[in-house]
Amino acid sequence: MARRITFIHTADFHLGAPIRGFSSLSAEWSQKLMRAISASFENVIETALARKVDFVVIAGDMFDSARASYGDYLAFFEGIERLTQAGIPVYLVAGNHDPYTVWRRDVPMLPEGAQLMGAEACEFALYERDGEPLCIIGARGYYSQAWRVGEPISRGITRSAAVRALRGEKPRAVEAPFSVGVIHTGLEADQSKAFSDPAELLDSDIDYWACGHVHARCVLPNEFTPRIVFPGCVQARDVKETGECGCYVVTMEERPGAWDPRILLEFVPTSSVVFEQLELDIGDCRTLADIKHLIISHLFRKSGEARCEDLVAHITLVGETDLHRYLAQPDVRESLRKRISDSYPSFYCDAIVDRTQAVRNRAALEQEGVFAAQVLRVADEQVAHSGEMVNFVQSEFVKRGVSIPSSLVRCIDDFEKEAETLVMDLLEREEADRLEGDAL
Amino acid sequence: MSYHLLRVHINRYGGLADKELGPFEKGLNVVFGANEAGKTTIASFVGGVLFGWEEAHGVRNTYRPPEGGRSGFLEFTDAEGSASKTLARQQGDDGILGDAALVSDIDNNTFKMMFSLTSDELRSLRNTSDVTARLLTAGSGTGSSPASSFVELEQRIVEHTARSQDAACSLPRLSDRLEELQVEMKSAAEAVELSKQEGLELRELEDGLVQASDRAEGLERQISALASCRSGLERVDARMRDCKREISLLEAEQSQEAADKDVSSHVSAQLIALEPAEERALRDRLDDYAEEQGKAARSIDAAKNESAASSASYEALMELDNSEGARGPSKASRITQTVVPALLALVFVGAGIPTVLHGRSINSLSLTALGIGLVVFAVIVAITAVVVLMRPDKSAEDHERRKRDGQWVMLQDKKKLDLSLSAKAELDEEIQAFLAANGLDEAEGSIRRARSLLDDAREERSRLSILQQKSASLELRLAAAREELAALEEERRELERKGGFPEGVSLEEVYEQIRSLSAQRDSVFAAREEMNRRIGELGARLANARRDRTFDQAKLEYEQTRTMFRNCRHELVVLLLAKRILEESIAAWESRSQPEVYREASRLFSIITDGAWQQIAVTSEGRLFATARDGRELEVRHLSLGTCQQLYLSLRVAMLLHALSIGKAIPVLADDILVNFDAARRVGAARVLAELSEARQVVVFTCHEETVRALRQADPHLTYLEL
Repeated sequence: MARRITFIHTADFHLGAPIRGFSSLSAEWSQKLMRAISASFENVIETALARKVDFVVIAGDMFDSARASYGDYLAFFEGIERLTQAGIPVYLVAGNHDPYTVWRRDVPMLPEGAQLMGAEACEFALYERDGEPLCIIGARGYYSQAWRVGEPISRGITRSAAVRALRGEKPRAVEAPFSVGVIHTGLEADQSKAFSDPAELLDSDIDYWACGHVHARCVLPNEFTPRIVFPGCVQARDVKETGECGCYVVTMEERPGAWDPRILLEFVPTSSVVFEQLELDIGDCRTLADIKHLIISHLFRKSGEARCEDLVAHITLVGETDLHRYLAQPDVRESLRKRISDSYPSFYCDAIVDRTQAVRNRAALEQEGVFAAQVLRVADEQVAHSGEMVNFVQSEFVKRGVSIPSSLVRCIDDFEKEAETLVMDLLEREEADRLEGDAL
Repeated sequence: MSYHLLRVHINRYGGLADKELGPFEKGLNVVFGANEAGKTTIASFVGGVLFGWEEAHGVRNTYRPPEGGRSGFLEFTDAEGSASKTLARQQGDDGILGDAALVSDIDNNTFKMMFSLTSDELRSLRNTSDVTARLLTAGSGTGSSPASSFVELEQRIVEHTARSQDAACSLPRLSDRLEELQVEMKSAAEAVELSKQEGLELRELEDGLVQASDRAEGLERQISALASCRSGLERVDARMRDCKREISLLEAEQSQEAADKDVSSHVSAQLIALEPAEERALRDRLDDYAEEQGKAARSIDAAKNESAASSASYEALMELDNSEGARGPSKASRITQTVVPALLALVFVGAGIPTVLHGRSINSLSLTALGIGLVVFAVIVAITAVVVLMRPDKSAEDHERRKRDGQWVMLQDKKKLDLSLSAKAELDEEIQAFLAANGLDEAEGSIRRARSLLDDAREERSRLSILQQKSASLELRLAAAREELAALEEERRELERKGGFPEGVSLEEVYEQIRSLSAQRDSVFAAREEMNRRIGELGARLANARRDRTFDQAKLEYEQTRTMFRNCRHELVVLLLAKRILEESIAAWESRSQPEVYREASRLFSIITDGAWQQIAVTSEGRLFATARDGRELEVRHLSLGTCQQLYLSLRVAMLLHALSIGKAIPVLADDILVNFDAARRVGAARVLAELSEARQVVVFTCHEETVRALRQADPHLTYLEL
């Protein structure tokens, strides 16, 4: 009978990480987001217990550099203890956010059955079920937050090295049919974050590389033959980390006549709150109510896709619309945001960004020779001299003692476009607009 | 619909109260009044109603009303006089009351710079870029004027960069908040680290508590064992003391006993040594001897009596015999009867024995049997003869027998008496010997004395026995006491061994050991108590720390504030770029408008100066200069005061004529602006003001009649009001 094991591959809890990118959270949603990461970690634990997996591997960054609150700190070790008490061993490696130098003091908190694998050098373990050796685990984590340049983190993690290392304590390791490598790496994309050459990993005799560090899901070479896998984070911690997050339930099964096992991946969503950034063209909306309906319908769709009840969204409205003159007003946007947030308890809209344009006939404006045409000409000239504009903004910021945004150079054209729109909005605004907007 | 000022109603303002001025007309109005009549006060009141009361600054304008309750209203009417609106301001300057739309097209700066003219104001046009921009871009074809948009942009930029409490987007304020939150986060992080350390301390304390409890229990057990040992030792020692005392007492008693035992007695040791059984046997024997003695005495007595009786009886017989004869025949027959059977028996034996011998020699059984039969028959005959011989003779025999009997009896009795005496003597000797043999020499053959001796011996023996018993008892008790002492000593050694003490440990040492252990135990208890207290304290603190979300809240608020900071910074970038766009656009637009305005100003300047000055222009650096009729060019600062004021009046009027969309309902208030003008130029200025009044309502305040005349000359239809 073909032997098989099932384990959970997870990483990047970042317990203690603050949720980033929001600015208008209500008290209730603040509480939800404060609990989001620890709740997602609990979901991982519950999944492992419900599935009765053989073991759990955590590929680094259990804790964030920001450090967890004492409650989350304890909750982590209690969660690990629940697993070990259920007979589920846990193999962890330190990540760049919680390197071994940080972990060192907390190692005694780990219960028996949970093992923080090596950081100075790779370390091996053998998973046995009822005395039968089933899986070799070779792992290496971060010693300190910076990785030694030029040294692949996966170096030395091979089956043969594992068998040698375990020879004394686990002489039957050689009989284990499966092998898993656990590393915290940015692969070749991030040379400064413990790089590893994917080609070398694929050529190695390790069946499955359980990786952490990259917050997005990634499976190499493909989903049918998963050899190098990043499960992503269990809970988004930045508004830019949109969509569902979770862990992988990995099943490895011997294949008759084949040297390598069959590997099946099942993604299990664990997010307690998902984030979405929606860019909606409201060109067809005739009223602000239409915009609200459009946004809510998209929120429902995204919530369904993410398999998560609670959803926080940033909405960017684009398109040419007569409603622009209202949306350009912050209080109108704020009113719309609140109404959307109040519509459904599971949805929260943190920001509505107006990138819409008033319906303007630029050519006609230029022909009329009115002041607006002058504005458009100047705006075009500034776009053409973006370098000069960057210097201008920098000097203005320095003059005012405000730090210069890093996105300045990268996004100067967008800023210019927004500035042009702002000027045109101001010039075209009439007092009555505000009153009408309030009424809407 | 175009409105203009109709009346001014002053409830209270400066030195004026319940003052009404009007009606004003749409065109040129002149208000004439002497000094201190209230001209400047009224002009100030109009500005105050429109844009808020100004603070009094004292020296600069002595006409300015003092602070105090100020209120009043302005009445506006349309060109046809069919509709009117009022703008009022009450004491406290809570805001304008009435239709604010009348002032929606003008701001305070523009009013002060362009609509509220005084001699002082006409000396320059400084700090009025916003106003000039506003005026120069008037008629740009936009919903809001570029200048007002520019002002709003600047206002927004200020909101983003000023440390204003009201501005949510103030970057310095957000930056300050970020710094505060960083401090909070650092503090919260330190609290978390402290909690972690306390958590570790709690774990160590809990382990330590278990160890301390074990240690305390161990000490408790040790103390309990030592206490038990101590009480055992106390008991053993007390008992040993008792034992030793008892032993010494017993030994003393034993010595006394030995002394008592040594006391001499008249009773022989043999008697004393008699065993009870021996004594009983001896006494029985003595009793027997006594009985025998009695019997012997009685036998002697009886023998004596019988001897006396038999002697008397015999003597009587003898006497009788002598009287009756002798009795001879019976003696002969008795001899015959004895001899015949004796012969027969011999015959048959003589015959029988040879027959047997012969029968045996010939082996004849019948002869042998016959011989035996003869022998047997001889024996029978012999026996029969003996029997017959023995049978007495009846009468003689009776007499003889009686005589013999009497004699025999007499002899016998005598014998008996002798025998009895002899037996008694023997018995006495035997008793004597017996007593001697049994240590009863002192009894000297007397059984009574012997008994008495025995009694004495018994008493002695009893005394000795008692002594012996006492001695044995003492010995036993002594032995028991010694044994107990030995057992106690063993028990003590066992207790010492159990207590871990050296042999012969004193109770004081044990007490000291217990005290030492108790002190240790108390110390451990105290440490345990302290640990328990600390555990309780840490437990409560850690439970609170576990619930404490301050760190998370600070981090989340920090991130939210940072996002707001970034958003606001983003907005600031956009605002700065927008401002630059608008600034350049206005500049470009002004570059088209300015020539027209300066042309107009030059014309007006020429009118005022009657052609002495032909042109007003501005350099690329923004410096104003005037060109005289003869072509001289002079910068403003080189012009005379009057000419300078005339230049700026010309510029203002030109801009006011250019920007008719601004302040449409607001009158231009000129407070004695022509005082420095000569008569000719006053006339020219009056013409200019009359020209302005064709487009805007103009109210000229003056205390100079020549000014009134000049204005009347320029506009004969002016409205004249007098204070």
